[in-house]
Parts: sequence; structure tokens; C-alpha cells
Amino acid sequence: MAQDDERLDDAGSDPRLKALGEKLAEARRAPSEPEGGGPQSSGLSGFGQAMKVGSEFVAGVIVGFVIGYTIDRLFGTTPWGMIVFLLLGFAAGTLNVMRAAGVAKDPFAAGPRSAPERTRDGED
Amino acid sequence: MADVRTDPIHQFGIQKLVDINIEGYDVSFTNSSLFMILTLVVIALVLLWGSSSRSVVPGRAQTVAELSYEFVANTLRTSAGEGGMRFMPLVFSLFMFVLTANIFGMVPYFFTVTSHIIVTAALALLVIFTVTIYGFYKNGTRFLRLFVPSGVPAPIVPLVTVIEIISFLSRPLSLAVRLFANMLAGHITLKVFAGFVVTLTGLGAFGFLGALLPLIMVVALTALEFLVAFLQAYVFTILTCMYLNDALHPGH
Repeated sequence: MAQDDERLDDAGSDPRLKALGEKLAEARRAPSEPEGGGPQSSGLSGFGQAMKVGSEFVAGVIVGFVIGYTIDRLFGTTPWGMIVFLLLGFAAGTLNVMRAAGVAKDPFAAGPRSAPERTRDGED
Repeated sequence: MADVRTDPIHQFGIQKLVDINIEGYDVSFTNSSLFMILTLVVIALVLLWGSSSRSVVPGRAQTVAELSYEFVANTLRTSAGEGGMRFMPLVFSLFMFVLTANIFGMVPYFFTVTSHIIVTAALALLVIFTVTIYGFYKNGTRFLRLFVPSGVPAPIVPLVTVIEIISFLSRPLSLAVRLFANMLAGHITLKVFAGFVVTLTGLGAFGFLGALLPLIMVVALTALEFLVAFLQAYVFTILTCMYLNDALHPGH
């Protein structure tokens, strides 16, 4: 045991261990594959993607439906709340899908870095 | 009524094991509660066992514990940054619970906790309330900038804001529905094909040969279901991380 402790204390002075430590730190720093493309899911990223996109879209429409229905019930505006919010929900669902597919710029998935410049900013 | 052996829905039935009634509320101990507790016990035992030896060269249990920790920590760090690590206990618990519950569901005669939307909805609401409350606590009203994307022309800002709010509200729904639907559909499919095997073998020698086809399907589907069990736990975790990232860095 005492020997073990000594060896651990010596670790700092051993160049090979130091090199190993540096390699470990580097490996740890290297960012792993972005979501969906990880080594664990390479074979079925398509399946995962399909499930994700499908539920994202449906969720948007359902939330729009629920909001529209609630507004109609509260204010007696049948059927206008439903019509407007179902369309908005459709739009939100499409937005979800475009974000999930990476077509639209996703402000949510931009990561911890500060925001990248939006393409839109160049227009005006 | 369908035979219990081949009824694909029967496996999802909630059975009361211990009847408990508190002031008119039914809080009975059901098979669902039993398997949730079993899930927690298994996770706790594996992690305690894995972290007990703390050797430099990890044994089997320690490898499992370290791998799962590193996996979740990396996912969280890459999608929510170093600041997201304060949510590590939450995210790790969610991942382990969902993964273990999904894998548990693959054991014959076991109850699949995550195939009930009430369970997945509770998990999703936990995530979304954490994001919202922490977002407001940390950023105050700046959290609302999440709903107003920059670089949008002024006239359509109200419209875009409403769409963004609906999009935000749809997250817990899609989070809950995705996990629940995957587990439910997978287990029903398995049971249906297994039911074909049972029915066909009852038809004599010719049916016995015919039963080979659904049997092959069942084997293939079982493999797929194990993959889905892991994948859905992973998807749940990564989306949790991304939503937490919103709370930490809204609006950019």
C-alpha cells in the first residue's frame, strides 16, 4: 500500500505518465459527434430521425389545436380560434421539423457558444 | 374477447397490488409502481456496486457505471456547455431511469413503465418546468427573448412570436409522446407477431411451418426493440440537454 502511494506521488515526475495525462486531457476535450451521428446510433440514425421529426410535427399541430379549442370554449368564438391556432400550430410543427432536420437555423441547438451570425442579418 | 395469451394490449394493464385509498384519492400500489421501484433499486445497486471499489483498472460494474456517467456527461457538456453540468444529477437520473425502465420492459412478463404516457408526461413536465423556472430565475425577463428571434422584420414579429410559443409548448408533448409511443408500438408489434406464432402452431403441421415466418420477425423485432430502448433514452437525454441550454443561454 505504501509503495502504491509512493508510485502515485511519483506520477507527476514520470514523463510517460505526464504524456499520457496530456493525451487523456486532449481526448476529453475533443468534442464528441453531434447529436444523431454518434457512434452508438450510426446505423439507425435514420429511424431515430424519423421518429423525432414525426412527433415534432404532430406535437405542434396538437398544441395549436388545444390552444384554439380552449380559446373557443372560453370566449365562444367557435370556430375561429380553432382555425387560426390550428394553422399557427401547423406552422409551428413545420418550424419544428425544419429545425429537427437542420434546414432552418436552430437557435436552440446552437450550443453554448455565442450565437453565430444569422444569414438574414445580411439582407438589409 | 381475445385470449389473454395473444391479446396485445393485455400487457399494459394496470393491476392493483395493494389497495390504498387516502381521502378519496386512489393511490394504490400497482404493478407500475412496483416496476418503477424495481428500476430505481437496480440502478442504485449497480451504481453503488460499481462505485464501491474505485480501482484504477475498473471491474465490470465499475466500467458500466463509468461508461454511463461519461456518456451522459459528454452529451450534456457538448450540448449545454460547462455551465450545464450543474444539471448533471437531473439529466443522469432521467437517462438511467428511462434506459433501465426500457430495458426492463424487454424482459418477458415484466411491465414496461415507460409505455404509459402518464409516466413519460411526468418526466417531460419535470424537464420543461426545470427549464422554464431556471430560465426565469437566471435570466429574468431576458428569458422571453427566446420567443422573439432576432433578425425578423417588425411587422411579422407578433406572428413569429406566437409560432415560437406554440413550438415551445409542443416540446414537452413531443418529448412525452415520442418515448411512450415508441415503447407502446414496439411492444404491441412484438406481441402481435408472437400471437401469430401461437395461433399458427395450433393449425397442425402446415401451420407449424408457417409459424416460422412470424418467429423470425419476432427475433428481429426483439433486437430492434433493444436498440429502440437505448435510442429513446438517448433522445430523451439529448433533448433535455438542448432545452436546458435554452434556459442557460436564451436568445443568444
